[in-house]
Amino acid sequence: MIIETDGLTKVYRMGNTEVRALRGVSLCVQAGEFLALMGPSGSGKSTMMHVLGCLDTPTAGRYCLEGRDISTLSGDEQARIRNTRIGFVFQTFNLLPRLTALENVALPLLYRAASRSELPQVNSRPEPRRRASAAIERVGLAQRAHHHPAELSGGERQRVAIARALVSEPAVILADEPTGNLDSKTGAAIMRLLVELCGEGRTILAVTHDANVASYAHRIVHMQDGQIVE
Amino acid sequence: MSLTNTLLTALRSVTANKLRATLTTLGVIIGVTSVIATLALGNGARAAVDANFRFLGSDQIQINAAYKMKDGKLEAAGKKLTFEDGLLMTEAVNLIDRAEMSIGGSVKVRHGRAALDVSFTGADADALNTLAAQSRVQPVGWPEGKKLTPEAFIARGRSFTPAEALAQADVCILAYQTAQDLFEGDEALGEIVWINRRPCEVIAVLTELEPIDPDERNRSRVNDGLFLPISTAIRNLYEEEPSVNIIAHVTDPNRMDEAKAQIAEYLRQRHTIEPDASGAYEYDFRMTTKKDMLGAQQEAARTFSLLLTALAAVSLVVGGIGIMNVMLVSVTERTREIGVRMAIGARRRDIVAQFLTEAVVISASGGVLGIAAGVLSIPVAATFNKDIVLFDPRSIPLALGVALLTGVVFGLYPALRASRLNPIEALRYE
Repeated sequence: MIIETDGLTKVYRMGNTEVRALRGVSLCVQAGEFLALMGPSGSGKSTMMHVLGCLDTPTAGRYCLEGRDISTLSGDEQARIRNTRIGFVFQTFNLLPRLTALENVALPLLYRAASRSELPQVNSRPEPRRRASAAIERVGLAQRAHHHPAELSGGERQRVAIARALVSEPAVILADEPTGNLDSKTGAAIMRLLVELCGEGRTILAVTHDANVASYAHRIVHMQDGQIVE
Repeated sequence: MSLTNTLLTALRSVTANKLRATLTTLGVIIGVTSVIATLALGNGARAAVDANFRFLGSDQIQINAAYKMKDGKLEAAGKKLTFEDGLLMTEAVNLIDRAEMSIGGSVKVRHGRAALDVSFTGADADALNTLAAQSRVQPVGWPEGKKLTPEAFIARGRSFTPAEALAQADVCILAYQTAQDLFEGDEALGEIVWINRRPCEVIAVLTELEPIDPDERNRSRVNDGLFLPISTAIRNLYEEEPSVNIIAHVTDPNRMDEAKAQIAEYLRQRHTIEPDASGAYEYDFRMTTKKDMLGAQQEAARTFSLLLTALAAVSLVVGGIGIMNVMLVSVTERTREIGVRMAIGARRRDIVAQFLTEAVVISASGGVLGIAAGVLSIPVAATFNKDIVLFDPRSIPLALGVALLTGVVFGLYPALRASRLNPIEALRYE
């Protein structure tokens, strides 16, 4: 089991009102699975993704990633999990505009190089570059590796973002509305790429409100009012 | 992230906003320039004392008669500082082992039909030693760095003996040009010249001299003049007893103040100076040590130095606030970027390092430009007062350090603020 959550609860305050974004969510995702998390806005799916992505900590409940309880980690430990075990794909791509595609892809590895005592395997200097090149080749953008994001089309940008998510060999790729800013044809191509990656043994969790996107997944989980409904 | 990558990231980000960064560095530039200038000023004051009072060793006390203004005229404040005062001083003051005396003025000297007005120095047997120790002049073509000896100044002849210096011997030493002018190329040694209508034997002619400082070579007339034994000068050239200059050599340089007190006591008795109603003495002589001169010179530089220090402090604070402001703007502009970096695994300390490095890169460039401006401005300032401004190489690391510190101090808050952003909100930031 890659992801296993048990009674995840997230409560936060917005002004004077208490918002219960997650009300005891229990979810299991198996290795190599392509799961779609669906639900209308306010259903708690975004909060769920933030907790699963280690960007947020649950108020209560347990979250095990690859069998390790990571619901109570410190900020630095969370950063390390995000760096090594999780790949993010965002709706708005979120590439850094001043870096080339290749540099964007290599960025997670640079943050890893800081803790070289913990991860001796990326110690050697050309390693990040080599791995970034491999990742960018995998998404079919080797020709565009030295372009800046502004010179790339939306679909190409999302491919670069996927390469950035891939480069650290994560346990799971979290895709938040990955086709939300793309036309349907490009979006379909991106979804096919994710399906391919899943076929290569990667675990993918897509958060979406678009049934089309969800149709690519092996399994669809619906959320409503902070709970899984089916 | 490794240091190299952090630095590269910072450089990239700073150069992406060149104009903004340049304007921001202005305060730091002015501040660092002022730091360099302040130190040059202090250093110059010290060097000026070293140069002007080189002849006054740190174990020596210069003693002169005091003068005061009366009816618009300068007159002696009390009794004169006599030859005898100097002669007896070594005996009476046990911290003094030697008292060098000299006197100077101008005089008419003749030989045959040639007559000249030249400056004279009445001195003791150490006259040429003193000349060598002053080191303001050297024989023409003297190799740089070679130690000057009294013998090097004499072209032909010999210096006074101590007996001649005391016993009013009618001997003199002519400077190179004076000998040329009087004898028109003939040999002067052993000849008689008339100084103030008294015959005097020329026992030596000096070599052609030049000031050591090349800038002074056009101005001074170092080859005109003559030396007489001080006793002879006093007898022949003055109608009444003149005041002499005394340089007292102290046996122990650590006891300068004690020696000064002993000299004061000795001269007070010889000049019969009584305390006034409040018990204070009004001395008719002045004592000067190198330390006194240094103090006075530094005092003069201090006001200006203080002003520059204030300017440095104000501009560094203003510059620092400018950097802080630009960094805060940068953090806000790049909220999204910070969110992305956090999402892909940047730790808080990575974000702090990134923004702190950026601030330091800005302040360091200001520092480098400021150092350049400071170093270049020193020759300009030196044209106004060469004695006061002297570049101190140690000011470079100091100024750079000050610039870096400004970057760290004022970059810290924006960097911490960036690192405390919530990644979820940062990612949503438009």
